[in-house]
Parts: sequence; C-alpha cells; structure tokens
Amino acid sequence: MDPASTVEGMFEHFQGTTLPPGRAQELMQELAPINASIRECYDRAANFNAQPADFLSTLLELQRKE
Amino acid sequence: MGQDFSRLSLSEARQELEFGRVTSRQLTEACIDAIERRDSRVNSFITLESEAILRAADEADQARKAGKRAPLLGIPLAHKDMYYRKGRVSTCGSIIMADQLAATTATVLERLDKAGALELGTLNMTEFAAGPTGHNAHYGDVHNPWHTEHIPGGSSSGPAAAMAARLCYGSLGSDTGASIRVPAACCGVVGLKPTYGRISRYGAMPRSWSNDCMGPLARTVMDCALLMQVLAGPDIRDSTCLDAPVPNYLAALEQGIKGLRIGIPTRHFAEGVDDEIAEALTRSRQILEQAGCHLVDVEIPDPKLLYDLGETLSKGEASTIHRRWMQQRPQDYSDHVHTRLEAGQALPATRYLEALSLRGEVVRNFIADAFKTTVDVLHLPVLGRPVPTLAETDFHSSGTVGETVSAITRFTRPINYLGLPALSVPCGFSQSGLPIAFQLVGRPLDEDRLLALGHAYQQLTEWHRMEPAIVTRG
Repeated sequence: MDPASTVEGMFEHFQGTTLPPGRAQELMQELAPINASIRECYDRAANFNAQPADFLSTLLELQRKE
Repeated sequence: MGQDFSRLSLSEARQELEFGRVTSRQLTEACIDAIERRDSRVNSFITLESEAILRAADEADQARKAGKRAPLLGIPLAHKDMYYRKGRVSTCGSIIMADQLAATTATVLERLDKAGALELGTLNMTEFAAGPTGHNAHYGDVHNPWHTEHIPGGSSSGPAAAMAARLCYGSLGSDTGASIRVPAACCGVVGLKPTYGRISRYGAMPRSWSNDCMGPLARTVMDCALLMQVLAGPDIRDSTCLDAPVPNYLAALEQGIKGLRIGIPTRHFAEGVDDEIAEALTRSRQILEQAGCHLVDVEIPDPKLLYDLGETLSKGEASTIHRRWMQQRPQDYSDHVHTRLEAGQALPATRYLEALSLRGEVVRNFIADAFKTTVDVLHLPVLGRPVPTLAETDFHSSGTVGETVSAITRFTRPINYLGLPALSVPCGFSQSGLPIAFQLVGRPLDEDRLLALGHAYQQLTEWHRMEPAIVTRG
C-alpha cells in the first residue's frame, strides 16, 4: 500500500505542499483512475525493472533501418 | 505601393537575400511595420527590440557584402519567451520571472546566432507553458489571426499567431503535450515536435523534463527543415540530447515519397473526430496517395493509457519545479495555471516512477503494433474538434474547461510520452474559417521523412499560402 493512501500517510505527504486538506483529497480522487491504470499497466509489463534512462537507448534502437 | 516583404516565407526571404534582391534591413523593417499594424489585434509579441534589431540587420548586410555566408544570415525571427539569453529577462509568460536576468544562453539561441539569425523580440505564451489554449492573465490572451475571438492554441501561442499574421519568418516553440502542434494547427502554420532528445533543451524553461521537446514553427515545411538543420544535434550540456548524426533535412525534401506506406487509423485516433475535420483528413490522405504513397489501415493502440502516462510525468515534474514558488508566491500564478500545476502534489512517487520506467517497453510495443514492419509514417488528426473560442475555454467563464483542455490535447499528448517525432501540417479550413491540420508521426529520428512527406503535400496544395484577412487587408 502506498504511504500516501493511508490517513497518516496523507497527512505526512501533504504537510510539505501548498495544498489545503480538502483540495488534497479532491486531487487524490481525481487521480485515482489514472493511478489505477498505470499500476495495472506496470503489473502487466514484461520488463518492469527497466531504468528510466533506458528510454533514450530504446529510441536510438527503434530508429528506422535503411 | 512596393512589395510587402513580411509575406515572404523564410525560404523565400533567404533566397531573396542571397540573390541580392532584398536587404536584411528591408526584411526587418517589413516585420516591424507588420507588427505595428497587425499585432494589436493578435498580441503575439511581449517585447520588440526595434532599434537593436535594425542595427543588427545593418551589420548582417555589411557582413554579407563582405562575403560572409551563414544559413540564416540577417533573417528576423522571434521565439517563445522561454529561451534564456545571458543578461536578459525571459518572462516564461509569468510575472514571477519578470525581474530575473538569465545567467546563461540557451543552446538553441547560440546555434541560431551562429547561423546569423536576428531576434526581433520575444513572443507571448501560456504562463509557464501550462495550457493548450493561449490564455495569459499577465500579458494578455493571444488571439487567432484567422478569427480573433478564437484561441490560437498553446502553449506556443505567440509563435503560431506571429507566423500566421506574417510578423516574422520563423520561431522556436516547445511541446510537452501539444504546445507546438496544436497552436500550429489552430493558426494554419507548420510545427515540428522532434524526437525527444533531438534538440537540446539547455537554457530553456523546463515544464516537464521527460516530455519537453524544443522545435520550430514556420509557414512552410521547407522553412521548418531549414531551422531544423541549424537546431538539431547533440549537446554536452543536455544529458538527454541524443548522440545521433543529423541528416541533411533540406536534401531529404527532394528524396521523393513514392512507395512510402502511410498508416491510417481505423479506430483509435479516428473515432470522435468532427465530420468536417475527418473529411479534410481524408482529402489530405488522397493527395498523398496520388503522390505515390500507399495508404494502409492500422489498428493503433488506445491513446488513453498513453495520455495518462504522459500526464502523470507532466504533473509530477511540473509540481516539483513549481512547488517552492507556489508556496511563496501563490498570488503570482493565475488561477487556471495554479490549478493545473498543483495536481502533481497529490501524485504518489511510485506511480510517477512506474510511468517513467514503463516508457521503453511502451514505445517498443507501440511501434510493433502501429507501425508493424510495413508502415513508415502514421497520419493522424491534431485536433478532433473545431478550434474553440477564447470564451469557451476560459477558466472563469466556462464550467467545462478541464474537459475542453483534455479534448484539445487528446491526440497529441500520447505522442510526447512515446518520444516520437510529429509534424503538424495545415490541410484545410472549417466552415467557420478556422484552420484544420493533420500530424504525421514517425519512428524515432524520422524527422527527415516527415519533412519530405509534408513538403511533398505542400507542393500539391495551397493551404500554407493562404493568409488571414488581417494580412491581406492590412
């Protein structure tokens, strides 16, 4: 479970932000479907240990071959 | 009355200079005159440096007489006000930046300087590039030159409007989710979002490090090719800049397009497109087919997930960049931009990192599914609906602004997550007289192929030559 999805975690998470408590909850609800679809996609991924930096080498690898 | 040089394209202006039929001073005076006559209705410029640029134009003319040659020598350009030049203010469309002198110069400006280009002034943009409409509460909204009650698109609103109103010959924009292609489409000009990492971002305002791409807006595809030749290439100061050779983009325009296979979406990217836009897209595909391309039906993956992945990166990164200012100077943000930028503060770090680490696999799968082994380029809509009005998309007067913003970027933001190059090309007008465009999406580093196709299309059509009434009627 994400720390930010518990009440205590929420408090900790938003202490350092500009968000008033009501707005934070509103945004969490707004983002919930997006978060769920990304988590699902990640769980389905074949190579979920990929490093973010691998993206650049992937682009070079995928360029067209004459 | 003599010829109005402001109506030349960049390529035409360059040719006239090379043949000695016009001077840099004449081109520059034509732009300044056009700005003074037309920009009060468009509001595309934030600053105009008339005296300084006329001096620079005279120097360019003298240099040319002395035998100097450079690709853009003496040609007046103007850029989105987010490219830093040492000792100068770049507002980034915000009052927060209005008193901050830059400590460095952007790589792209250095490259344009070296190519001899002049800089007329700075162009308006959405505050911190956070929005696709062109509203700006601090420097005034930019208006679409074709119909001033309508949006010019954003966030490169000033560059697109200045191009359409014939106020300068070329411009730099930036594209994080739509910001070159949507304004280019709304204003009937050409915009290229290059492959992620093709152009250095050093010295440019960051909006979202993982999605930001710098790129040109211009009147024609050939003009974009000219600018790309100067801008593209590795940069040691930007670690995400790809270490890949730069092709000859101008030579690529003449390579021919016969036999290229163009992927046409059958479901996703085709559904929910307004009828008159769908008709214009179909006509543009027929023209490419007549030019020798093969149209191939393709099943493109659902862009919704790609949209969410890209939006997650943008939200998290923009919130990180702005958190301190949002705490210290909340009153200096417009409500609309504050609302958009704060969203990432509610994003779990784990979701952000998942979206980031999935990227390589997602783009690999997308290319396997959409391009397969047989498709060279995808032909997609930029906007699926007619260009909305400023009032319809205003944060304060519209109750549906969130939906409108999502609808505007629906077909563009997924391409940023994938990091692929995309070229927006005008292909008609709606019944209400607003431009319509298609985007060509290629494999990584396929800018040369996109430019060749776009150029071939423009050789067979006249859409890019059409000018709004504020130009033709003065």
